[in-house]
Amino acid sequence: MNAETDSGGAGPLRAQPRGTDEFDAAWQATVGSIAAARRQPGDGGADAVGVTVLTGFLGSGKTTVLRRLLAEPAGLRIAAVVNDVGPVNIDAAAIEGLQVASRTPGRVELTNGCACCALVDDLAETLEGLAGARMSDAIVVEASGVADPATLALAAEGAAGCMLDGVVAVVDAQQLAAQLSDPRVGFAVRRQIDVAHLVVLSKVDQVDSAEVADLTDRLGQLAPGRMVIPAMHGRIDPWLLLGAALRGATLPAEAGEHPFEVASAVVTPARPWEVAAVARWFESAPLSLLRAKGWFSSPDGSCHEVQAVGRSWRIVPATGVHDPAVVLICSSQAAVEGAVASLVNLDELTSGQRRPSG
Amino acid sequence: MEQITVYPAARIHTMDPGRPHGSAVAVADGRIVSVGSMESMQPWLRRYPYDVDDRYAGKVILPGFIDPHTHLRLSGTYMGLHYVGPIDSASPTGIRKGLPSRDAVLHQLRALAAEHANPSEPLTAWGYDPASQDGHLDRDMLDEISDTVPLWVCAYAPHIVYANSPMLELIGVDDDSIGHGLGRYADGRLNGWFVETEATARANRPVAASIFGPGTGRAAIDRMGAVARAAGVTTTADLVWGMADGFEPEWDDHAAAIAEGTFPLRIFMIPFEPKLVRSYGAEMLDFLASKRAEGDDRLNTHGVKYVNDGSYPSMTLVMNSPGYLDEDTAHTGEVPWEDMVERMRPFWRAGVQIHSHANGDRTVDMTLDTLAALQAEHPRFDHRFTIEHYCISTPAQAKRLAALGGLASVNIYFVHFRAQLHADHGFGPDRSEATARLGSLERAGATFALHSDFNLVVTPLSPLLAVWCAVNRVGADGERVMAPGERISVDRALRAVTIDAAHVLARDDRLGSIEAGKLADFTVLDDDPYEVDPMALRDIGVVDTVLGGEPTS
Repeated sequence: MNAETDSGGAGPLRAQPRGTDEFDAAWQATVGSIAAARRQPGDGGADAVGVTVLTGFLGSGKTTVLRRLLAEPAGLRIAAVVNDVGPVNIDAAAIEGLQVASRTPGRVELTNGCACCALVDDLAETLEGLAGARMSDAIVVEASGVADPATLALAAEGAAGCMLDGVVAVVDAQQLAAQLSDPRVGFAVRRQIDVAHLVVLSKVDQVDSAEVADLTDRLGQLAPGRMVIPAMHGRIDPWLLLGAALRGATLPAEAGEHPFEVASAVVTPARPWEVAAVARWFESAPLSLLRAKGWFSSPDGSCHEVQAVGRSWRIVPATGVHDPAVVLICSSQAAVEGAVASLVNLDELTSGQRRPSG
Repeated sequence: MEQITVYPAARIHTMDPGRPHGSAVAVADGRIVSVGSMESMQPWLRRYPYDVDDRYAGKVILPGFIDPHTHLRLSGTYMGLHYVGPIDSASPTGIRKGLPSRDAVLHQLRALAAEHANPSEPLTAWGYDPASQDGHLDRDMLDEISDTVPLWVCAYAPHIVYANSPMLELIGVDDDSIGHGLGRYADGRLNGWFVETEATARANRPVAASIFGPGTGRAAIDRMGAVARAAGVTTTADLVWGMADGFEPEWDDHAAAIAEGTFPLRIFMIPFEPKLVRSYGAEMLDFLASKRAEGDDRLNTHGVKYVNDGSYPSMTLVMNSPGYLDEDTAHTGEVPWEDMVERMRPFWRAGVQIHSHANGDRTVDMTLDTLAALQAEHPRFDHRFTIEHYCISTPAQAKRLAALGGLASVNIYFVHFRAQLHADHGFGPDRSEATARLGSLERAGATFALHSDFNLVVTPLSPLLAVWCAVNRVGADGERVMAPGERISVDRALRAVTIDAAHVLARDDRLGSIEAGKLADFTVLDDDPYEVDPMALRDIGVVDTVLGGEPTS
């Protein structure tokens, strides 16, 4: 980003009405964020368990998203951390073809390896417990409707054995306009959108397509660069929510009833890439990039893992040996082709040449 | 008895119903020798040397106020953050003035940097709003203010942090660092911005260390002790002992502050149960016994604390039918009630007083069920099981609480600050108006105290304001009386911040009233709370406090 143009992720400059409630919320968010940073960072290495923070205002549909994810986890063992196991209604998930394997107070396990457990104490300690048990490929934290998602994200970032995989905000297509104009909840909703790496617009089947376009524009103004993914019936492809779903270089090719065209492609580096060059590429990656994950070698021979969600990315030393390959997921076929064309240029940078364009 | 000091006053309210008034109190060796008049205490004054200290002549003396539920050490750490936001805002230490422009913010930061004592510690500020204060800050701007003091400025909506060059060094990044959210100038130099979670996590770490690190808990105690003293408080209790930094470090900070004379309060450390169990396991009762033996009248441990509900202002408490106004706003945590009797049993049997947090009437029910189960299994008298906060409740619950021998420690401030808001947002009119049913508790014969929870919830710490709320129950509009039948008298409200608060902390044998033999803790007021217009109770000035016979001024 660039200070002179005020672009980048810092959000648009806008004045808003302010009240005591909003001040209280801002103060709590600030101290919560600082408190969360008290922990020493987790190793954040490639073997850390990814934690997705699922935020969204009360009634936005995030519980439905979570339930669908647990019922159809794409082969992953997902641990969901929720305030209250009840509303997730895991028995309804069981009706969809799964069995409850065990049930203890505050914890329900499914036969597909997923589990749902209640948050009764400190989030970071809960996450460390789950990561230490090594029984989950990914963790999803369902943020209570009024919790500050940045604070939860920072707790995930600081928990040993964990790394923040991304913050996903679920926004109710029917309610968004009213929520934003309500001085009591507008701040919380704006903040969720501000903090999110991906925004899921839920209940799009309840509004017409012109309204969806309007809302997408509105979200684009609130949080420039944030990808907005429409969803119906809480259905979101797991690899958008969870980086762990991108372990392999191949993806399930399921269009399903998703109204949103998602396209993926794999880039295979022909030669080592400079870490700084990869970082530069991701810092200015196409806005249509939803997720990326993969491995590359740097000129000194070391292997690195890269992953991205929305505008956020990270590069860490890889554990184990991997063939160089990077999966890109974009919002459309044209976008992913453009991203591939741009990313393969990194091949040329290390040899001092630029791939001729056109 | 070597030397008696006598404090004459315009009026002394003893909170001892048998001998309610006086005009002089005599103290020696930290304790009360006699209360009454100069004439009535002559039998003592004839036998022992005495001084008359008339600094409180014309003033009104009450027993030292007790706030039995605070979080001074935890909350005090945050007070080191300077405010540079655009709007005036209430803070626990007074009104913080808003700053209209970026220039005003830079000017303020320059002044703060000039008086910043320790240049190796970051200077931290929050509240900057680029939208209404003329655009973002950046590294070069902040370097002009200081290129030696690390400057850390967090935005009002805290997903961007601004840093100067020394702060970048402290964070451990330079122009070659890679990572998402590190802002750069056009020429590739870092511009001092840390945007979004990964970057702000990085920027916050050294600040978190300086705000929460070794030594900061002690500074927080000193800072908050002064706030509490100014409100007339002489005794309090920390209701989450152990949660932040562990039991021994938190204890040691208080011990050091008391030893060095910077903390003019008595404090009881009430351990946070999950942390106590995790830290000490089977040894937990032995640990508490050893700390009790180590403690004294200034610093001691007492009871055990459970958190079994959400909070009132965040609308996460658990309510019975008809529940929340909007069904899906009932966003509440899950409490493993199945285990509660088992968790509480060891403390119940050992006679360790249980303090259990319950804000919603559903949680009050579950708490009372648990207390009833403990009573059925192992009956006890005078156990002083206390429901903390007790925000939404019913008259029937008050009777059941009294019947089971329980007490309530109530946050009354919400009646004024938030009840009207929640009438049409969250709880509905019936529950909101009846927030903190003190009248029902009184009619049921239950003993209760008033507390601030300072400042895990955004309310002030002021026992006189709590008394004002309890007596008047006036909403935020300054006019509407919320559930008039739940108002209580000035006398009952004052008991709830003195002798009945001492009862909740199981120290009413030593604290909470002005009686011969008790510890000589007083709160000195400008006006008589029994005489002023009830709406003026909150405006009475606190002149001083006396702790163990010694003025704290």
